[in-house]
Amino acid sequence: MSQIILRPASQAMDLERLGAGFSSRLSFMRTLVRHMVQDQWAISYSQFELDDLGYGHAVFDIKMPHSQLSLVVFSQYLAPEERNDRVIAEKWDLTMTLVEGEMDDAWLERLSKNVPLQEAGRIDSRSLCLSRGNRSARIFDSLLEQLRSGVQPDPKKLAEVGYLYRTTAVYGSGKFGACDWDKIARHHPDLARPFSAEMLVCYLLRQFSLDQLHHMVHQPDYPNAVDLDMDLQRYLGIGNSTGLGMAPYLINHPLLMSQWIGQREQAYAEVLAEPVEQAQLTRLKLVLEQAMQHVREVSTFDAWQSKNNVQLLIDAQELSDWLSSEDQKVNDWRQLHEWAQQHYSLETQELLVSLLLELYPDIVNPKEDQLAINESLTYDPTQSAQNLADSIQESYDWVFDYDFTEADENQTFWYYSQEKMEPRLGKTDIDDGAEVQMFLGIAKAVQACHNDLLTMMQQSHDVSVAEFLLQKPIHLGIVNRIATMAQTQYGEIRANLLHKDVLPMHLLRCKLAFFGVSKFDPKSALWVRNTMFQGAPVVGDLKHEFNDDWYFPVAPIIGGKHQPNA
Amino acid sequence: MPELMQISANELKFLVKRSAEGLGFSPGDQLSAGIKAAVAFQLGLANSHLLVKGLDALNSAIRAPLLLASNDQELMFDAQGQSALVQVELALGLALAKAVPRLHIKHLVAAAFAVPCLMNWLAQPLNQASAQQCYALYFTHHSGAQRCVLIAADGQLLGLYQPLQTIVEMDELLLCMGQADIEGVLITDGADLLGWRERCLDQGVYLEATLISRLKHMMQASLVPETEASRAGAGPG
Repeated sequence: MSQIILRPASQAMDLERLGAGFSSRLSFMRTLVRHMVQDQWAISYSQFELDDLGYGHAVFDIKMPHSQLSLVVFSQYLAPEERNDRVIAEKWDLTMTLVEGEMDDAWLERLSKNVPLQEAGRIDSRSLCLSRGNRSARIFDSLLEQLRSGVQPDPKKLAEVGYLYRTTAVYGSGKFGACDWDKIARHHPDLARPFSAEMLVCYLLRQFSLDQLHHMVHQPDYPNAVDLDMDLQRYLGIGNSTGLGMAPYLINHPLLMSQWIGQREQAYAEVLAEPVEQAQLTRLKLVLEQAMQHVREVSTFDAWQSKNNVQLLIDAQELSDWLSSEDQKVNDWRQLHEWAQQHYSLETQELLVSLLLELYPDIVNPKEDQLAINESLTYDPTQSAQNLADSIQESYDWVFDYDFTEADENQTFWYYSQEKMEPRLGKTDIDDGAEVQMFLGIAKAVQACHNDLLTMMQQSHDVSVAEFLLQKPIHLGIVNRIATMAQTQYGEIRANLLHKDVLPMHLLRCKLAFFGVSKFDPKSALWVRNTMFQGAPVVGDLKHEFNDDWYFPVAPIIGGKHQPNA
Repeated sequence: MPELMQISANELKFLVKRSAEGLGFSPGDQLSAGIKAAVAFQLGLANSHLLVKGLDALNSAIRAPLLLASNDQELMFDAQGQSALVQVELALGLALAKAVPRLHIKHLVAAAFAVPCLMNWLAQPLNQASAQQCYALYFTHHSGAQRCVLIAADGQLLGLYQPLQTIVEMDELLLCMGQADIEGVLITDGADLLGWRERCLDQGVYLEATLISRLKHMMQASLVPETEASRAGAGPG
């Protein structure tokens, strides 16, 4: 084993690189499914009260090693004109909540009056998450027709959408009366990893979508009805649209970000230090082929993403050819890593990171338990101002790359909209509201703090941080951040989010890659469609042998002859 | 009886933070206000009445507490009627940095909100750790009675006391460092305070419904009417 060398933060935390990431072994969906299988979770319906049109309610009973949960799903009629994925919607096809323990009639009654209302209702601290989903009417109805007639669908048509339902929001972390994260971490250790509860809701929504479909298929009027082919069931995921609402999260949770990136980078560095063996090399070729097929099947009209996909396929094909050629000699993984850095696009480089992590589960998987952290940004008032200035010079040197006297560097501001309380971008020279903008201009704030520190220290060197802040209280927030984050390696995304050309898409993709989604399909620079849990085992698979190989899902071959978009 | 609503500590933190934002406080003050409110509720040191008082006193025109007097034995500040939800750490921090035995902050409203701030600092290794035995914070409780929270040098809560004598005025905070014992009656020991906190982690905290409405109204001031340009391309969110 050679030396373990971490990628520097200047590289790993570059915004464009973060926006080129892919899901990996450490992604939250992968981790959740792995534990559901390894820890032998028992998931079944305790209630499934749907009418022949699929309306009613169902309750999943979820037995985990350390606790028991229920997911309550309410299904109601939604007129096509009422089906709206925007946050302002007031009605959905499905609404659900994940709760502690078993369901009783009184509780179910109370939930039935609140959960369908979502934000307008109220849940209590026995709930972990609140969520909703809308049906993809196009695919659901045609699939229903075909299966009722005993016909399997064309996988190509299925692959164009890839899901029966889309989530439009999954609320956790104490929203609308639900419990805090601390409670989940203490009482439900099986979910004590970031976003595990939220991912579980999405996973079971996917299962419900299949079960509801089959319930509607197998009605007495359809004697020839058949189940959807199992491979096609696994190929269906849950649709998701992610917009600006997710973007500020990574800036507002730098310690968590540091943990996520840090664990991945540590795993990658350890993998690069491993000796190359033939078995791993063979496996790399296989997973590379699968990833390439996955990318070929991505359907997007976005020119930027299409271009990236094309370049990735060119790079990956070259890499694949070289790995298969007789004269290739991969001496160590670092050599491959450096070659990719010098010759391939960012997306190909980051794809290689994810693929190499696939080869070493023993190195990578244990790091999934280090992804959560107690978040507290705090400074030490007794520290000297000189120490704080030194921390800025050492850990925040990148902020001096920006000249904030230039108008372009200050032209964007982020705010919460009055209409929907969702993040929006404004232009300082056009829009009102910059005075209440979100605190996302980290580089600018650090520079300002540093300038004031230097000015104060010119007058007196023997100054504490407490004295500095008493003179310049405006810097309280950024001092908390600098003092905390200077002790970490990763965490601060190296970009100026106030720049006129800032691309929030990179932030969205970074977070979604950690979630584990696939099929990135940007619809603008501000929002992206994607698919969750596509290719994952269904609930019935959880008790069987498990290969943990559902990354980069590709359309199944039905009858040995069809492969969509290939 | 006013209607009570259960909310999570995180939701309370969010509501108070955004309310402070709506009033024009700096990002540091916004977050600090949210955290102090949530932790004070979890420790049983605050209730809706105290939070209303703390919110009423928030004044973003005040930048920082005024340092009135400073010597080796005492620091004296005037908070100018500011709420302890914000800025109080500026005075507490200076007291720790200078390691003076006593800190007096006058005209500080809802002083109980200062407790989480001091606990948080003591729980981490400070650069110049004061070799003090204990830290005693005197303030007026939401019940109107005098109270003292005794905190160990490592940030552990040791107990909530009722002092035998009047130590502070209504809107005043006194921090005494190096105090090993309190002349007063122990009301709740540290384990019970933490037990209360655990219960709140499990069950959330209870606020008067009217206060939650008020917080939601206050945070409206931090929102901006969206423009057609900003909506364009923003997708379903």
